[in-house]
Amino acid sequence: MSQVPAPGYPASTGRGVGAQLNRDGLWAQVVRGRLAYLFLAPTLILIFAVVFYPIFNTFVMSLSEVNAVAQPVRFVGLGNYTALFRTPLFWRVLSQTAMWTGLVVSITTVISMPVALALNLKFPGRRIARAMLIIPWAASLMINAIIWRWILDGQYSIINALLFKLHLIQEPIIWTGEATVAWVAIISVGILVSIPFTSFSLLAGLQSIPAELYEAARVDGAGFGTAFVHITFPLMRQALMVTTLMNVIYVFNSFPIIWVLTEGGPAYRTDILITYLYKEAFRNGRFGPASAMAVITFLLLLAFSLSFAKLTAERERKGESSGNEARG
Amino acid sequence: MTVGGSVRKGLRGVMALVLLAVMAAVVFGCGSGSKSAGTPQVGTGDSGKAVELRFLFPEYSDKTKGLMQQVVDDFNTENKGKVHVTLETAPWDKLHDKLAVTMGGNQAADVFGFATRWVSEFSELGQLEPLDSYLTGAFKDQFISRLLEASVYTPKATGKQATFGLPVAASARMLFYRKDLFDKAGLKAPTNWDELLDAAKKTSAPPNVYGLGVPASGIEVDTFFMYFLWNNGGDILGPNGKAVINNTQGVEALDFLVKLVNEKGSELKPTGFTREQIIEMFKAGQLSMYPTGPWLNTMIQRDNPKLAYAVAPFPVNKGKTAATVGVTDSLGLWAKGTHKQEAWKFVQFMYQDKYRQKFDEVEAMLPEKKGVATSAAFSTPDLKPFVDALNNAKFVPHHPKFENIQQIITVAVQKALTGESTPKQALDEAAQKIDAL
Repeated sequence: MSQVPAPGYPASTGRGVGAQLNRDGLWAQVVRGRLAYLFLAPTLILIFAVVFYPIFNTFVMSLSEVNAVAQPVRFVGLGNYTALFRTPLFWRVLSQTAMWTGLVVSITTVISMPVALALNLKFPGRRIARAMLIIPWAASLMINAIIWRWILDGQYSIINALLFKLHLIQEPIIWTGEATVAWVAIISVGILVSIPFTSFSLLAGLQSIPAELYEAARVDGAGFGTAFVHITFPLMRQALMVTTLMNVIYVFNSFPIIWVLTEGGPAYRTDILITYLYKEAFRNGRFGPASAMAVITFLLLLAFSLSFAKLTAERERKGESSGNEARG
Repeated sequence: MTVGGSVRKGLRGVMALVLLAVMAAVVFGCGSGSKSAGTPQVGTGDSGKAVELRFLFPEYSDKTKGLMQQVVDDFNTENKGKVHVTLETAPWDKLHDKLAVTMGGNQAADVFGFATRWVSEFSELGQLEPLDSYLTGAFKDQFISRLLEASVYTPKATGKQATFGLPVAASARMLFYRKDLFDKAGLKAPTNWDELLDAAKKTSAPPNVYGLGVPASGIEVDTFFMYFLWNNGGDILGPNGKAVINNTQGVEALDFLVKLVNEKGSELKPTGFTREQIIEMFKAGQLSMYPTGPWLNTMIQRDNPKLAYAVAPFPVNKGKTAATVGVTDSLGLWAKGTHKQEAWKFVQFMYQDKYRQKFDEVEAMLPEKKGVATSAAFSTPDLKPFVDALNNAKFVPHHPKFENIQQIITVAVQKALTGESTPKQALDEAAQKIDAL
């Protein structure tokens, strides 16, 4: 927090505060801001109760032996972690998670970019097109996943019926029966449900680019391709970065699609960390290792976010300096 | 400016007071709320000084809540001013978590329904009240004794054998088969595994009809394997508590299941089908056989009454003893509850034949009381085979980590069916994991 008081506040006290505040100690400022803290208190209490306390508890459980009703029994240090690292299944699930996140996020972004570009063009029915893209996003992910389970059902699936009618298959494709086919299905669904959010974030980024830049480029004789490479893409970097970061966090932790379609089966072949963790905790009653996995997920995402933010900041700085050079 | 300032100041004072009042209300409201859950309420109108009991019951169907509410209301009327029971219900797939979490938080219901296979887990944690001292002669004799034995267990923690639950819902699993398809193929209900394999292949006409429905995804994959394991003389655990699932009988059973699937005696790639999907397929007439409980009768009557089907015991491998896969759910008392005498009084009340008869009929469960078993409703051709089958019913063994065992067996069956491992490898791995629990 900066030392500058919130706008409006000093005026309302009717005192000339500006200089005085800087001389005051922290406590004096807290006392003066007591009304603000009072207003914040319910929210803070709630956040501590439902966010920070469970996180803290998960850390404690990850360092403990925990019984089947989720009570820590005794402290075991890093025992849960070392046991986990010695389990080949954990490493396989981790690599499956990386594959799932990487493929879904990258393919989604590649598909969403042209979608966003198209929606940014002026054409009759644009509003309807935008609304149609939002609808699947408005339905909960769980509902989406359940609909997809029936679309992909081995016996009743619409897709199989279509392929039969077109004489492309002789026997139904059991979409969730074996790992490879199941992954194709799961990742496709993951991409389809991620496209609306991604396209809209990118669209927002596109709309923030001033139209004059394109007009100027057109005057200079730049075509669509040149304008995209030299104007759209550089100015979209911020939006792309933020969207990618959020997508990575969402997809990495995305539970409903995989749980509804395969429950991670057959034999853990389509599990990702979050579904495996859930199984360990609530099916197998192993809350200790499950908490350790939750902590690992937390740390992985934290590390990813921080390095990503740092990367973005560096790029930004470089981008600025190169911009200055160009201007000079 | 000053006027505005003072007005705003006044407003702020008022708002601060309001906020304080709200927060105080929240804090004290919570305090008194949590207090009233455990201790008797004093001076609140008619229910003054009544002992408050909480009763948690699983939702078998959308009718369960109404059925149980009726029992609770009758009890509350009869015991007005003395005991007051509040009904809570939970869907089955949330029940274990709910019980585990409320027990962990020391806030479990006084009386609750639960799956009998959780007896060991909860009794090892000291959360289930041993019922033997309550179960007196006349009351005890009303039960089909085989079912009462399902929840007898010796916790390692105490070393004392006890009955930890009363059967509150019972089912036996039988083979449902399509009478019309079997007649057309000139077949009778299969009695041994050779006939089963033969029938599965002969009644199959893909992609419209497949033979035996094999659910190998989601829940109950382990239960499905028990049809084969137990009808081949195999078992999960031996008498000393060590895994025997990988012995000759076990491997033979899984070998047979894999063979049946590979020779197209089932739907394609069973690892892509859950129990719910298989049930839909059988109801729609796309499977010629599927073993499950009596509730499928009700489902067929409701969704596809024209389906021609019959029920038979699950086939047994030649030379082996037949066993019916039995499952009971139990009703238990919370060991840490403060009003166990009143809770037992409620249990006795709800076990009256009239309530149990209605529950068993509506929910399509098998009777756990002798008086209900002999009633006309359970003497029909649809249900009589199930009631009779209770006599050779076999239940899953008690093990404090049975949920893990289920998961381990599920994975073994999936590995064998997808060809990731041979049946022997898969079961050896499973046995090793079970023994390491």
